[in-house]
Amino acid sequence: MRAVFAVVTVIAATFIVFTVSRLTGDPREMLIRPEGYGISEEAYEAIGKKLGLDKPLVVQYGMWIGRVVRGDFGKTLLTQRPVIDLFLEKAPATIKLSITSWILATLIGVPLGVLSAVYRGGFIDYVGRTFALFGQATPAFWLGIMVILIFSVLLNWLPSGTIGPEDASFIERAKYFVLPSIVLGWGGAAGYLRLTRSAMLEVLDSEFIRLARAKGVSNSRVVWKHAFRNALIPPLTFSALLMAFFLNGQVVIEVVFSWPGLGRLATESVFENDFNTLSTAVLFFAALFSLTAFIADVLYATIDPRIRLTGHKE
Amino acid sequence: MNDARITSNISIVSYLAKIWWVLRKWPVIPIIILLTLLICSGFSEQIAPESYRKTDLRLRNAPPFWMEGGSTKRILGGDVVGRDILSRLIHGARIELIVAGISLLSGAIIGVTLGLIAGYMGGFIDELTMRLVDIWFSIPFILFALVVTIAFEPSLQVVLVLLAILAWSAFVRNIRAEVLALKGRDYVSAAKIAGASKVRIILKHILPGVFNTVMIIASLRVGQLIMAEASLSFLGAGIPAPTPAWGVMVADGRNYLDNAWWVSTFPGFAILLVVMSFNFIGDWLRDRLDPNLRQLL
Repeated sequence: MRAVFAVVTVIAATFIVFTVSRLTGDPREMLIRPEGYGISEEAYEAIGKKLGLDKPLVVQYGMWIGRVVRGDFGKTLLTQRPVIDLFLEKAPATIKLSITSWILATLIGVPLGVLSAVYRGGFIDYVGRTFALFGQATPAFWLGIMVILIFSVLLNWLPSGTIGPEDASFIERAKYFVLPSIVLGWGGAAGYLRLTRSAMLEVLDSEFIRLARAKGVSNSRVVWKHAFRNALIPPLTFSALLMAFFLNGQVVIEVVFSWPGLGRLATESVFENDFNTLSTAVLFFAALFSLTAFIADVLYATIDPRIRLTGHKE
Repeated sequence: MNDARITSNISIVSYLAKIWWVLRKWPVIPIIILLTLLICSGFSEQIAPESYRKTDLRLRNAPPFWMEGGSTKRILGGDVVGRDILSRLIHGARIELIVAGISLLSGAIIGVTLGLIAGYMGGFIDELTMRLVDIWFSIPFILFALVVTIAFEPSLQVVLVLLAILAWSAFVRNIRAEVLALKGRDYVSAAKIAGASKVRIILKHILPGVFNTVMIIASLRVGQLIMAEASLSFLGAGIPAPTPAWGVMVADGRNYLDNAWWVSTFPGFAILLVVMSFNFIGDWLRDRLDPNLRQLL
C-alpha cells in the first residue's frame, strides 16, 4: 500500500512541475536564435507537432510518462542529446559529493551529540550546541563564498570550483571535495547533533541506565553500549533523509562551487525551458525522496518493533 | 531561587554570575538582535545614512571605514556601483521582515486550518490531506521555485506565495498529530455530548489547545523562511533589483571576492545573525512551553 502511495506521489510531483514549467512559455521560442532569420510558420508548426505541443497538457504529460516507463527519457531541447546520457554523465559528481558530505556530517554530528548529552551543561555541551546553532543558521551559499574567500583566495590552501581535472592523482582530486563537503555537511551535522543529544538525554534518564550504573558498569560502557544503542533510532532515520536532502539540496552549493552535477544541470534546464531534462530531474529527485522516506520508515519499524507500519490509527 | 541569594551578596563575581544566569535563562542577545532588526525595518529612512539606491562611482567597492582607504561615507564599505552597504542592510531588514512575516502568517493559517480539519475529521479527508503533504515534500523546492519565478517573472508577490507554500506543510503534520491527541480528551467528548457543532468544537475547544505548538513551529520556521528567501534571491529567482534583499547583496559581491570581500560578507552575516536569533528563541520557547516536542522538531 505504501509503495502505491509512493508511486502516486512521484507522478503527482512530476505532473505539478511539468504543468508549471509549461506556463513559462513556449519551448519553441528557445530554438529561435536571436541572430538568425527567425523560423517559418510551417517549421514552427512541425516542431510543435514533433514535441506534441499541439495537444492538451494532460495528453502531453501522458505521452512523456508513457515514454519514461519504456525507458525513453527524450532528448534535450537545444543540443538534442539523449537526456539519460546527460544524467549518467552528471550524476557521479553529485552522488560523490553527497556521500562525502554525508560521511562528514555523520562522523562529526553523532559523536558530538553523544558527548554533548553526557556532559550536559559542561564545556563540550556548549561547544556542541554553538556548533549546531551556527550550522543551522548559516546560509550555505554564503558559507560557500566565505570558505572560498578564506581557504582558496586568501590562504591558497585548497582549490575550489569544479570537481578537478580527471587525470590528477587521488589526493589532488580529493582536495576539491573538502570545501563543498564541509559547507554541505555542516547543516547535516547540526541536525544529527540535536537529534542525538535529545535522544541520548532521554535514554540516559531512564531506569535501566540507573540500574546499569548501580550494578557498577563502567561509565563508557553505560554510555556507548547501553544508552547509545537505544538512542540510535532518531539519528538513523535522519541519516536516510539526510542523504536525500543532500542529493536534492545541492543546487545552491553546485552553483557556488561550479560543481558539474545534477543540481546545476537541473537549474540550467529551468532557464533553457528544457522540459524533458527538467521533468526527468524532478522525477529523479521526487523518486529518490519517496524511496528514502520509505527506507526511513522501514528502518524505524525494523529497529523499533513498537512501531507498526500498517495504518496510523491512534 | 538562586536569585535572592545572589543579589544579597554583592561582589563582582556574583554580579558576573548573575549576568550569566540571566543570559542562560532568557534569550537576551537574540532579543537584542531582533529588536535591532525591528527598529531598522520600522525606521529605515531615519536610521540609514544614505538612500539604498544612491550610487557613487568614486566610491565603488570602497572599503569599510576602519580599513585603509575607507571613509565614514561608507561605514561598511560600498558595493560594485558605490552604494552604501550599511544603508542597504538597514533597508533590507524591512524586506526580510515583511517577507518572513507575511509568508509565515499565511502559511500558518493554511497549515493550521488543514491540520485541524484533517485531524478532527479523520477518514478520507485526513488521508487526502496527508498525501498532499507527502507530494509537496517530495517536490524539490528550489527547482519548483525556479520554474515558478520564470513562469511569472521574479517579484515580491511570487516570492511571498512560494514561501507561504513552503511554510504550510510543517504546520499540517504537527498540528494534526496534536489534534489527534486532544480529540480523545474528556472535555471534547463533553462538548460533543452537550451538542456543540463540529466548527464550534474545533474553534473553541481544540484550537486553543494547539496554540503553543503553533507558536513553537512558527518561531522555528521563520529562520528557514528567511534562509529560503535568501537562497532564492541568491539564485536570481527572488526579489528583483533594486530592492536590497540580503541574498541579492551576497550574490552581488560574489564576483569581487578578491578585491572587495565586504560586499558579500556583511549581508550574509546579517542573515546568519537573524536566523540564529529566531532559531534560538524557537528552541527556548519549545523548551519552556512544551518539552515533549523536543523529539519532534
